[in-house]
Amino acid sequence: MNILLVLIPLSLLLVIAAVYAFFWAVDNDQFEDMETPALDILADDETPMPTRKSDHDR
Amino acid sequence: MRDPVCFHCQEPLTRGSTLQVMVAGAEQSVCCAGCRAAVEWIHGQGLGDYYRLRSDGAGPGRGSAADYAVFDRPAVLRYYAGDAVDGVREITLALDGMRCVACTWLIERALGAEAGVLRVKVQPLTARVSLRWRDAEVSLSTLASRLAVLGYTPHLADPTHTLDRIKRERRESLKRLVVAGVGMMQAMMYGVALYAGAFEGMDPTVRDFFRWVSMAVAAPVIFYAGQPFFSGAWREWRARRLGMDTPVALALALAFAASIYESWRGGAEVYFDSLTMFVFFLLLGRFAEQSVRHRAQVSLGVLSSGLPPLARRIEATGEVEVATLELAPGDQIRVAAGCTVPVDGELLDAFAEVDEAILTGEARPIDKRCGDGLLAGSVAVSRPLRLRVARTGAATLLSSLARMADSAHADKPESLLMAERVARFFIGRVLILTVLVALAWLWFAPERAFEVALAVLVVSCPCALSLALPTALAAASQGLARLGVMVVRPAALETLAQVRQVLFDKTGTLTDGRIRITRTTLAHGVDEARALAIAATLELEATHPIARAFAGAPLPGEVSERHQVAGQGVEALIDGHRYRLGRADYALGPGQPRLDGDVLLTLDGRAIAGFALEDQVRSDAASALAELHGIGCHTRLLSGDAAARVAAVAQRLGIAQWSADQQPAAKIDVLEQVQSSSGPALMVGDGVNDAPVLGRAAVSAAMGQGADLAKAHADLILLGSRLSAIPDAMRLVRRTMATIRQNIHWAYAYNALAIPAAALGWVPPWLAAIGMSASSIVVVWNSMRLLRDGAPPPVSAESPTAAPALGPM
Repeated sequence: MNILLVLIPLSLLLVIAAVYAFFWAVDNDQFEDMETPALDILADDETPMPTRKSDHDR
Repeated sequence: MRDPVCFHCQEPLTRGSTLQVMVAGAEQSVCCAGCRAAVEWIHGQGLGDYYRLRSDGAGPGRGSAADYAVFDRPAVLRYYAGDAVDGVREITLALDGMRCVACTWLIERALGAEAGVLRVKVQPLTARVSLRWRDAEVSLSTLASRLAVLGYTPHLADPTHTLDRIKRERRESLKRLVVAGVGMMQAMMYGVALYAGAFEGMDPTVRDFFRWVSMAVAAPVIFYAGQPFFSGAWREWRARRLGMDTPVALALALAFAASIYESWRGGAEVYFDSLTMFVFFLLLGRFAEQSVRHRAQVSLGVLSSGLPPLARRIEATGEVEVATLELAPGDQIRVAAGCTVPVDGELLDAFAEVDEAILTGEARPIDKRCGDGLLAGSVAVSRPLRLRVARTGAATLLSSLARMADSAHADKPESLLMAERVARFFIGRVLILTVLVALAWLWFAPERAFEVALAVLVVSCPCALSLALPTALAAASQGLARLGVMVVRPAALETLAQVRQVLFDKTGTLTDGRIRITRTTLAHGVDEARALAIAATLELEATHPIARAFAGAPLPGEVSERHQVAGQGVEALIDGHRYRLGRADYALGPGQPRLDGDVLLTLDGRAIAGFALEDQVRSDAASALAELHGIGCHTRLLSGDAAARVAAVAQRLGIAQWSADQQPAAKIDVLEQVQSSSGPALMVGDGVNDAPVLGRAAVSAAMGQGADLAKAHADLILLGSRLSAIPDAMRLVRRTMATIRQNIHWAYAYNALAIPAAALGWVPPWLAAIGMSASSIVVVWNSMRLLRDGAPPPVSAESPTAAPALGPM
């Protein structure tokens, strides 16, 4: 059972990492729009998207 | 299949509408030229997918670049968009009419395709769009009119007034929710090990190790994720008022402390897993409720932008156009006739006439003398006026009214809901009972006293009761949102379930505000086409709703001496002949025979045509009213219009009771009379003059296209102005209240069984923990049933050829 003494603290570390990653994502606008990205993939984009060009300027 | 609806905006089509548009080889009906332009433009841009992706209708398309010319003024650009850097400007516009996800998609692609636009980013949460564009290549007014054509009315968003608070609140709730969720999963995992150990036998050292680890994951859940409950309890304590947060915070704190104590002394049971689950479910309910409330607040946020963005400042060198927000107290400004006063101030002219309807609901112009106060939002009626600025922007009365409405929505409503009263009553009794039980056991068997007292507290933990209400309300809010009903004040839902009286305003609510000609009577050899053309010429510049009934091609002749008399009619000289159009007593010369009709057209006092007018009733009004009658509601029509027209509408819709000629104050009297004799009433209205009545009704609903002031006073907002949403919403709310009652009964029954058993010491702690979790889960599951089989299909994609809707996400 001693292995638990290693594995459980390890799992706690992973949890902390996961929560930290989530906080980072929330603070970086990843959860501002939960719905449009899901629809984006369904749209047929035959014309190149002009918005993409501008992404380089940022 | 419901009544035919407009392909673009999904508003019901008016009878006899013949506008068609070709879409992918098929004819589609649209309601107006604006929508047709929007459909054609969207397809021309290759963005036809929008109609497949969206889940709700668009706003009706309207607007041209000229309407937004003001956006291009240097003063406006400087203030709202900042200085150009290398010819690139950046601005954030607030949008009206964002309904569904596909809106974001459409706006980003449509504007992104314009030459000179560098970046388009829509924030669906706050209904804002931020634009970066090259000033030299495209003007802001062009972009704004693009938005307007698509059905999204752009407003200049005051850069100092942002919706940061909503964004911050949402982010915080998300973080708390995830901490609670992750913590819950971890605590459960250790809990399983502990339960297995309890049955199979476990080395006490290992058991204690698991307990301390459980505590380590539960602590952030309690103190970080559960922090709103503690701060809420603190607020309630300071206000000396036992609310919902106090029992929750008490239960959390006591059970957590007891679990730590048990872990430390190696006692029988710990409750870290149940606690984390409790916090998670509560937060989940709150989050759902908060999301709906935020959407409502965003749509109300546009209220303060009703003020004109520009003002004319009087300076030593003459008048200068400046952005309203640049004005400072003491400045002198001029307001043109018919324009809105942008700031609170003091009149400098000797005399002025202003319309303060937006502030007071009083439609008659008010006389002001030199030195009198003028309020932002009022309109200079007859002549231009000069005033000295006293208060600007956020300090104006209008803004403070808007803020008041805001905070009223943000705060928890004063009136306690049924479940809260029950829970409040219950928690006090349980606390007393626990103390009594502990004392009794101390007397008889002191070694078991702590264990039994803890079991009583845990088993009776008010979780089930405190979850009963928010989970059901959250489910109901989501269901209502799918129906197109936005809940501004959640407490109104309970009242709505009891409503048996529904009062309607007429114009703009039951009717769509349009008036049409049903019959024309002619005399003196004038033919109908000519009579209509003369009428169109006369009404060309009139603003009364009746004028729109006569919209048509005007006569080519020369028109002069045009006059409009409010409430009477219009007159003008056309090619030297004096024509009048209006009420008989105004238009007819003395002693002349009158013609049939509500409005007469006269030539030099002789009646040449009479027009019978009729309000155009919303196409779903009749079915909505029939449904209301079907669920046991009485309806009543309240209108400021003349008796004949009100009676006609009431008769057509099957409304037995109606009152005509009602001023706002009289409407309130009728409302209070109805409410005192037959219980709470629902008032449905749309106009500025309805705002006071809406504020007074037990429950009020405003049409989504109604005046901002009406929306600010309403508990519910009908997006898309669909009347049939009202009976649907009432049915859903009644079911919700039934669910809440079931939840409470269940919680009561459970406690009636569990508390005596626990007090007698029959409930081992592990069973108490299971009971506590299970009772909460039953409640949450019962509430979620409202979502699963409750909500009718969304109103989306009813256009016949639209591909299968993707449904609500």
